[in-house]
Amino acid sequence: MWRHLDLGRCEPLRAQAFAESVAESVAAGEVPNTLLTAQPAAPYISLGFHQSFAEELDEGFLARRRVPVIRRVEGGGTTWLDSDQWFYQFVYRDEEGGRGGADDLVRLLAAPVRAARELGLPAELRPPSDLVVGPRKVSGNAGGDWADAHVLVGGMLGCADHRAMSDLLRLPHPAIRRIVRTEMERWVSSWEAEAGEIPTYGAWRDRLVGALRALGLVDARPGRPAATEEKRFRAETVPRHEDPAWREIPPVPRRPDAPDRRLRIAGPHGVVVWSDPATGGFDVAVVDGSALREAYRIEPGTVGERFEPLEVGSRAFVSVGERLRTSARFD
Amino acid sequence: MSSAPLGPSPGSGVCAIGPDLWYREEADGTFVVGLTDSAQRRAGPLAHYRGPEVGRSYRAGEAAISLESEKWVGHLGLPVDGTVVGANAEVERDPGLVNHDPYGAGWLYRLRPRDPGAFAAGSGTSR
Repeated sequence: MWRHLDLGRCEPLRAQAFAESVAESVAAGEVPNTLLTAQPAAPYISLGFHQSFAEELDEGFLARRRVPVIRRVEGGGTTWLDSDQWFYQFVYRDEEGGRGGADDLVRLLAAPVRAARELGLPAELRPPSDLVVGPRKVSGNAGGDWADAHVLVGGMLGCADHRAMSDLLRLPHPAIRRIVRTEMERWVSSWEAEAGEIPTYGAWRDRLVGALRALGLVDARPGRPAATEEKRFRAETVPRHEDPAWREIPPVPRRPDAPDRRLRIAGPHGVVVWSDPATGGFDVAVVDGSALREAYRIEPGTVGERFEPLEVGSRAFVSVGERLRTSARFD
Repeated sequence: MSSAPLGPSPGSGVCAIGPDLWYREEADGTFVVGLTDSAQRRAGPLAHYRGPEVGRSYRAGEAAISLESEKWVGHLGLPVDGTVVGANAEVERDPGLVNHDPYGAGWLYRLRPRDPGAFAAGSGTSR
């Protein structure tokens, strides 16, 4: 029997990181394996565990929006989160809910898929960790090991704010930001865009719990946080996340031939950017798996909307494809 | 008759310690440590790796490195108490080296154990 902690609508750090305090209790055997559900009350940015604040985020956006930045203990990329998204987190001891890793993602994500379908969203799993409708992502998921427990986190996109998702990223040129936003609009969707009507958080949460039980994955019964979990959250989790040393890990030095930016938009779809120190311009590849779909050469003077993709098969297009072949792919 | 593909050869002097790590003693009394071929296969293609802090002393089992594969982050502790005296920066830049050459270019770090006999005491069969 698992415990279900419904944190409901709560402030971002609690929505994202209360599971870390729970993981310590779960690992110590003080509480049952636990399913958490939550809806963040305000927008924030979540960095993947290995991502660098300095490399990922646009300083201007942070200054304008003044949203919290939370580095999570799970993997994956930078995400924009707000109250139009609903979270689930599975916290479990080794072997009781799985061994951690991609196999757990595939097995446990059957439940959010089933809950979505029961509520009218024809979602399916695109391994290892995306829920999609057709080719478009409607849910991102990731995992990590914390305090000797496994933690799987995911969220359903009720609505997708593509502008915020693209504006928060550190990108070297406005034209590149425009390309990234277009790709996000193409590959990142939402419950609202795919089904028209968004269920309430409560209706989705109850379906999720029911789907976990129906699939024989998790039998979760309502519970409350233990006093030790609340105390640890205040005394350890919150201070850790407020410590710049936790949030702002230094970037890993790049290989000399590495691109300046390699952004996975969703699944096999990505954007890769190389700078050209000689001209001050940029080569940009829009990639599906290992295939170059579009290429751009952004000159220093490129402004506004006035830029076009390179002609397929042109010398410049082939040149971008060659750079892509040797240094970045998304399959 | 079919046969299972063999992994890369660990080479001489390489011993296993625990299910995930190998070590090799160097002439200066330090030990090079890496991820075994079976561990890297279980992990899958590595997307990120952060090594231990060079110059820092760790307790055995204390989380020292992190790895990320297929959006899952895992942590590994040092196999014995000791001080990290070197780390493979190339693996941080290109974690795929661990997948491609776990016993060679994909080595992880170099350790001076607090007890020089600790590796031998904790090791399994020679690989």
